[in-house]
Amino acid sequence: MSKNKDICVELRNITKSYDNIPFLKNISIKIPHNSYFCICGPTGSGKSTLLKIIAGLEKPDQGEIFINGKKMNNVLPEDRGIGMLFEHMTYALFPNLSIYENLIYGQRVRGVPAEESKETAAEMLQLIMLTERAKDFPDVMSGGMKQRVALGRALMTGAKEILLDEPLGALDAKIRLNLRKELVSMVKSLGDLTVIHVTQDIEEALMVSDYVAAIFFGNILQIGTPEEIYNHPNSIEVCSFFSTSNFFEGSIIGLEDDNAVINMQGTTIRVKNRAFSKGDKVVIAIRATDLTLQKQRTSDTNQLEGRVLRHQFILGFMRYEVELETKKVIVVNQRYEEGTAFTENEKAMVTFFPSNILLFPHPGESIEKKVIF
Amino acid sequence: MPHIEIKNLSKGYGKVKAIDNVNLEVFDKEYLTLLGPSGCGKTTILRSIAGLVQPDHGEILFDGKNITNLPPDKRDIGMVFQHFMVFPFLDVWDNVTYPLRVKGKSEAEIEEIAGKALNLVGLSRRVNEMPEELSAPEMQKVGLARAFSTGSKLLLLDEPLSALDSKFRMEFQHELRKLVKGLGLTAVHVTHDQSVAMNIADRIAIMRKGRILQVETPMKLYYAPNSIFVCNFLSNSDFLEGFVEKQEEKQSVVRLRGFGPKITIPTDKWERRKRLVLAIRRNEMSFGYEASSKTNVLNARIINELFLGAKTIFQVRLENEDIVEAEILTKDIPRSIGREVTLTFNIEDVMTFEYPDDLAYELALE
Repeated sequence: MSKNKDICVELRNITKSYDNIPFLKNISIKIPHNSYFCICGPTGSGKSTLLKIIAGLEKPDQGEIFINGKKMNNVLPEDRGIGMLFEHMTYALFPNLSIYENLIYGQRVRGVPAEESKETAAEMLQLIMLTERAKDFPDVMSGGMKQRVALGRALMTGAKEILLDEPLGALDAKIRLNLRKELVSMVKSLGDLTVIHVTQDIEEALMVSDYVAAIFFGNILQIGTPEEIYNHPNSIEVCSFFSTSNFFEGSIIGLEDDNAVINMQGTTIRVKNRAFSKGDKVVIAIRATDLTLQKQRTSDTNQLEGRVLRHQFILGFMRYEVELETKKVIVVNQRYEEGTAFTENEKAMVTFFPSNILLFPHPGESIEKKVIF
Repeated sequence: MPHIEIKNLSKGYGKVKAIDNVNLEVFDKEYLTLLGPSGCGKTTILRSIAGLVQPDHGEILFDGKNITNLPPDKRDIGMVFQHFMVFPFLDVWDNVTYPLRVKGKSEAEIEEIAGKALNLVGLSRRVNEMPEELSAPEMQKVGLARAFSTGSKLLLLDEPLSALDSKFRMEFQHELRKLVKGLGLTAVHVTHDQSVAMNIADRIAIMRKGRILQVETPMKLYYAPNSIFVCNFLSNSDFLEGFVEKQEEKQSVVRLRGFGPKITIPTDKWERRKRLVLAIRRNEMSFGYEASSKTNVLNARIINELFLGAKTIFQVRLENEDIVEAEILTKDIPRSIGREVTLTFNIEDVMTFEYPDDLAYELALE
């Protein structure tokens, strides 16, 4: 990320412990102006704490916080000029104001002309799908509706830096899908906004962001564009969290042209990769979407035999859990086609394509410990 | 042999009709889910079956017998709740045996019934543990064992999986169905989660605003929805407006609005000039290579790309300015993707609906 003058929020060497247990471990991030930045990790990874430190709602043990080049460590939250939506503040709407008045409150305080607010509010009401409820008061709205109002209000505060903690968390699945698409276009149309969004939903993070920071156990392991994070994960942790992948242990037994020849638990596979040397121990990652199940063996290589344990239909796809002969259980996602679906206990040939395989250096310890759901 | 019939059931709270003249039949040993957005009335139906809600009109029959006015404790029902409803001050054994003790069963009976129920859910070795020592899925298994030990053949479940993490949910839902089927129970399960309903039920009753819109097997609901709402609620589809231009044998040609492109639909049931809404599931579209007599091929221009990891959503504009979203598996995207594309989808995969009075209402999600 580029020169300092383009940096909106910067964290330097932030640490935080609770009861002497380190929770955030020496975190440094630079967030460019005008970018949509997601901090994404599992429950308990420290992502919300990090956001609260930026907001000023938590103090770091060590480290510095800069917003637009100005050190913020001793600046009170309300003086930091940030708009925010925190998960547990979902209901912090003014009960005596209508939805419309809640939305324009920030603009009114700042003296934005009523006509101008009206226009933005109309757009915002459409975004949060509450146009017909503009005159209603918060107490007659469902939890999901209130959350949408809180999101709209955060975006309309007029602040140029917005912090969002799981802003789509409590909503019905289908509404969440729609809203996240709209959120991107709304933020872009409001212009000149830097958004820091915390979520554990990987699709949400990949879809809405310019940059994603992957955080696990208080460490940021990788920062990159969504494509970099998904296609070129730098570790087993990032790979396992951002995709449904299957991990195998193996070792490099030879090198041919651009390919590494790998012994993967008795099966020989060839992977396009020259980063390793003969004899190296590696971890092989194969995404669930890069595997297919076939009824019959069709090849001597790149196929493993297994038995279907479970299956689940998800929007036109089948998610299979397959037990291999080694008792290892792997996940396969493939399109549902009538008549070709597999049933429980059915024998299946798992076929994979070597072009889609990722390799990582073997961590030396059990790989199960590195895999993050 | 619980076979439930619900006839003309209505219940209002003030001006709001929670359920509005609902008719529903649940067959013996069937696993049925009530699916719909928050506030659609699904929980009111469940609570009426349980006797926890007294309907304003209509009746409920168990095996042909009218039980509408029977108090809940006389209905012989096992219930499982979202928030477990486990007594925190009782250990696993006392939680599971509680209803048996209330019913005044003998110690020997209690031992046998509760022992079996705990065995079924895999908690036989945890009987002395307190709820705080259990994980969320284990806590829900206690709730399930308690429901099983009532000995009732009818199991009512109110969002039993929604307090579980997604990684446990799939496993639990699989086990739950297996247990219910193994015991030969009739189950009515309320959920707002499409995926849970699709994977656990024999049939799904899909609801909106107090009414049941369709009752069908999961695959039929997904592939042959009877309304725009059901289609939109269960799948990610694009909806396009057009008029029937020509009827052919077993198929017809629809011209999209604004003198747009032609789309062949797999039915001849709509007369010429009829105004229709066409629905196409987004994950069944592809950027075309082979056009055949079985596919529709449309010229389009990519206007936006949304990367979701395993799949990418492309927003494309058709010749008539309609915007369509196609969900393409990221690995299937040709590398040298141009801005002009041909969008293809099977004729068989186009669903058709009569143009409704209020399309925005049909497409709303609440």
